[in-house]
Amino acid sequence: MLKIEDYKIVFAAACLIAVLLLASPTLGLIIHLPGGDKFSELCVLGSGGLADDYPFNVTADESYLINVGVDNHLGSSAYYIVYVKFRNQTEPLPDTTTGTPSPLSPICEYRVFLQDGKSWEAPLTFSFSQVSFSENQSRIGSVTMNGVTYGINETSIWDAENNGYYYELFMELWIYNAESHLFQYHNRYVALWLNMTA
Amino acid sequence: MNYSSKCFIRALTALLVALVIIGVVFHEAPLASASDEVSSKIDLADSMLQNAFAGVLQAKSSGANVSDLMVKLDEAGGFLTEAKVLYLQGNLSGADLKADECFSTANATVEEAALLKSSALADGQTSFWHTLAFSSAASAAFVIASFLVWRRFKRVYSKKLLHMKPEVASDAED
Repeated sequence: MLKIEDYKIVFAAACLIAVLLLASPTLGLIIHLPGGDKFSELCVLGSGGLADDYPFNVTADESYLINVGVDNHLGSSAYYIVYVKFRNQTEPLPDTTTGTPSPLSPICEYRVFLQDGKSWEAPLTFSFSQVSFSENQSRIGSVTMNGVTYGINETSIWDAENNGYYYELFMELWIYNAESHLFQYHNRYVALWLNMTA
Repeated sequence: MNYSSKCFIRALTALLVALVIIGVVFHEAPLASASDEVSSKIDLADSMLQNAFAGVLQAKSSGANVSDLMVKLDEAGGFLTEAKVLYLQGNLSGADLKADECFSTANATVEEAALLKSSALADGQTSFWHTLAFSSAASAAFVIASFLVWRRFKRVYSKKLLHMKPEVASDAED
């Protein structure tokens, strides 16, 4: 038979657990436990909404479709801007080490408001016009994105190693900082290589 | 050509040049001012949209359901993007219209977010006090009940102990 002191300990422990359980609704309102990893996702998907079937060899006046997506796992609502930029092989990409965006001007943008745990996806159709080839370089005069034409006047030198005139379509993710009232580069970008063919 | 004719032609040329300059300046000036006006309207709409988002964030942190407001923000963001595109294309009237639509949608969102925030705060306070009262009452009742149960258990245990007969479990060693 157990001693009375042993029963006392068991009884006290059971009482403490029961009291904590009863007080848990209030404790839950007061104590906020840290959540999991907080991050945002930026992705580019092919025309079928999957990570394949990306355009690569492109020609003038032909329309191509990709999908741009953003996921919010920050634990709170977020206001994002996705900047769509275009460059040749020599122009700079964003620097992931220093977290700085590409200095190139955006061609177009998407403004996205997302609650925590939600996703956003939008189609991006693009085509190139006023494309010309001379000696060892190609030039793109304008690009049409989602039905709006923008003059870009971008040139690319023939890449002998990879056999093509390469351009890169890339998207940068920016986020609004409610404390500083400024948009900041969120250190995320996705890119798509395009080979301009005649 | 005599001297007076030459003077007349010179004066006429100067007048024509002056008219052309004045024409160019006065023709460009309204365009430039209209462009500036639309540009500042777009900036204003942009900052109103940022305010609206900040308001929605506050409403959300107060415990409000902001799903509808997020839809409105998306709508306002779409108007702003359109305004910027139209402005770049030189369609000032279209850009002006879209900037206005963005501003009014964002402004309505700010007001709605403030209302939702205050109602969520009031609901949150009531809910907090209800939860606190329930938890405290239940915990207190449980502690008192446990104490009474413990006292009864102790009494039964003591009585049982007193009624026990001593038995020799094993032979004591020498």
